[in-house]
Amino acid sequence: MLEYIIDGPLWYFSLAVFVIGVLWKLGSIIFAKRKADFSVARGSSVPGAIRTVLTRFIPDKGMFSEIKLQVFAGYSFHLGLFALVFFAAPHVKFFDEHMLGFSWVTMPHWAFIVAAQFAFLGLLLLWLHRMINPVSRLISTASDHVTTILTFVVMLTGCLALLESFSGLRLLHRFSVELFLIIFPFSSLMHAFTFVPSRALTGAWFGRRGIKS
Amino acid sequence: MSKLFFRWLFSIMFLTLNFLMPAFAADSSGTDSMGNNSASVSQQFGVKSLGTDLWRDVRQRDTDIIGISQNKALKAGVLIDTKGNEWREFRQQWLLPYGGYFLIGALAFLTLLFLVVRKSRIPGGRSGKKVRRLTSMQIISHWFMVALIGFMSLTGLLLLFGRFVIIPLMGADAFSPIASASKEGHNLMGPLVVVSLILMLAYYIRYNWPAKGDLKWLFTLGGLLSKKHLEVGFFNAGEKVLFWLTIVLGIVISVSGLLLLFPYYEPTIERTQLALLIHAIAALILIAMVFGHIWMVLTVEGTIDAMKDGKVDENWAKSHHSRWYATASKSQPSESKVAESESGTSEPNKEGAY
Repeated sequence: MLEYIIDGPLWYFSLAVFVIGVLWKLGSIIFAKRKADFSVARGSSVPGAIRTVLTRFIPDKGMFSEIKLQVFAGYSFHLGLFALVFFAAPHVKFFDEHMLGFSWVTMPHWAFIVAAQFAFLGLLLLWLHRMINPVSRLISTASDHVTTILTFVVMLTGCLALLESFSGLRLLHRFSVELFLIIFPFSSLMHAFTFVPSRALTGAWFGRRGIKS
Repeated sequence: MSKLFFRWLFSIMFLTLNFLMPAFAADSSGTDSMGNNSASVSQQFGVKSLGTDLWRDVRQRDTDIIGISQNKALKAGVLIDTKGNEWREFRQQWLLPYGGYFLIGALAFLTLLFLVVRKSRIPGGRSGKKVRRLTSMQIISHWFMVALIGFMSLTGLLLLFGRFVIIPLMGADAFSPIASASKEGHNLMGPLVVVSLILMLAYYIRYNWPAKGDLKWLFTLGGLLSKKHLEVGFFNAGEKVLFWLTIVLGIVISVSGLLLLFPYYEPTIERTQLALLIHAIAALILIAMVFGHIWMVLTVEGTIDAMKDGKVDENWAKSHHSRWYATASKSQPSESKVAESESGTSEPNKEGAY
């Protein structure tokens, strides 16, 4: 019964919430009314947008010494998680069989382990920083902590089910993923989709104003 | 009629028992059904089994025998490696019971301490004034290690003792996925322990070198025997001993664990078993030490504060680390600076958050 619910109705429900929620959020940002900018353009907004999207991947020189941990842990976690989600063999097989109908190259087992270790290392350090650094602690909300814990649980249950021999462990992982998908559009996890338009918008404004940043 | 019947019955039973007794004797001696003990049976009947010598060699009863094989793999000429069985017996008869007694003993001792030793209050109570003791990175390094050691201890103990706890409570069906999950989790997180050790060394080693007064602290058990207040720097000698034991045991656990994770570099079964034994013993000692560490922190009021926000009460600092406090208070005119070392030099927080 539990297996049926997790593999069936709950999966489709969580997927629907995720897709509709993300589209609704993105749509509300993209189609939001903005004040018209009547100032004389000093530069083009498109190169500014592209430049800002790309340059923000590199930490600012002046700031780097102050944010080394966040930069290292941030890259470690995000790259590790990206590799796990899109290149782990069980995930690619799942996408192929249940969602897309095609597959792509997968990571070897050792690469999976390395990616998981980088992801766990980064997430743990970032979470500790969020809880301990006074500034991070002050600007963190309960939602930030809940989503961090949920991300950790999703990763942990996935790795505990690595042997793929026990249905219970697989179901635990899938259930945590379903919770993750439901919470995703209503939390700061949305930054996975909004970071590009957010940077682009700022960059476009900079470009139009002739600011090189 | 009945007399004759009983005589026949007695004769049949006697003959049957006569035939079965040697077989019972062989079974009760603990031999398996592979004919290993056929020598004694054969000798009893005066017939030598043709397979006796062969199986004695296969099971390597008398000496280690390595056969010839075209396969070039290590130990390809060994049909049955008896070392695994010896290790299993050692694990069941020595490691598990004595390891369990050790941990239960440590827990019982700590429970006794909790019951007998009163909580040590800050002399003069909390002053309300705080002194910065640790940076964010020092606190993060500590909790990172705590998280990893906690996870590794839980999964490790489940792997070592789980079958004796989980199976009676939840059954074998529940134990299988728990054991599998523990193994995967333990193997996956293991290498991160090395990272946590490096972080601990990087952020704490400077406070843990031997310093003036450490021997006196050790000989008087922190002034407990001399009943005198001891001048202590950033860490006392007990804390330094704990730090170095954690580092040494952590290195031993990490090296032995990595050898177990990558058996291709340590291929002989004897060395693998030795690595496993060292890994288990070092881990049990470390877990017992962690119990003691937790007890100390909970018993001495104000100690945990440093690991919450990096600040400690001034009265706590004066009482427990007076020499450090003397330099820290000079170098910290306000709470916005971090006392970095015992030498009196202070550096602003690298993170710029304070």
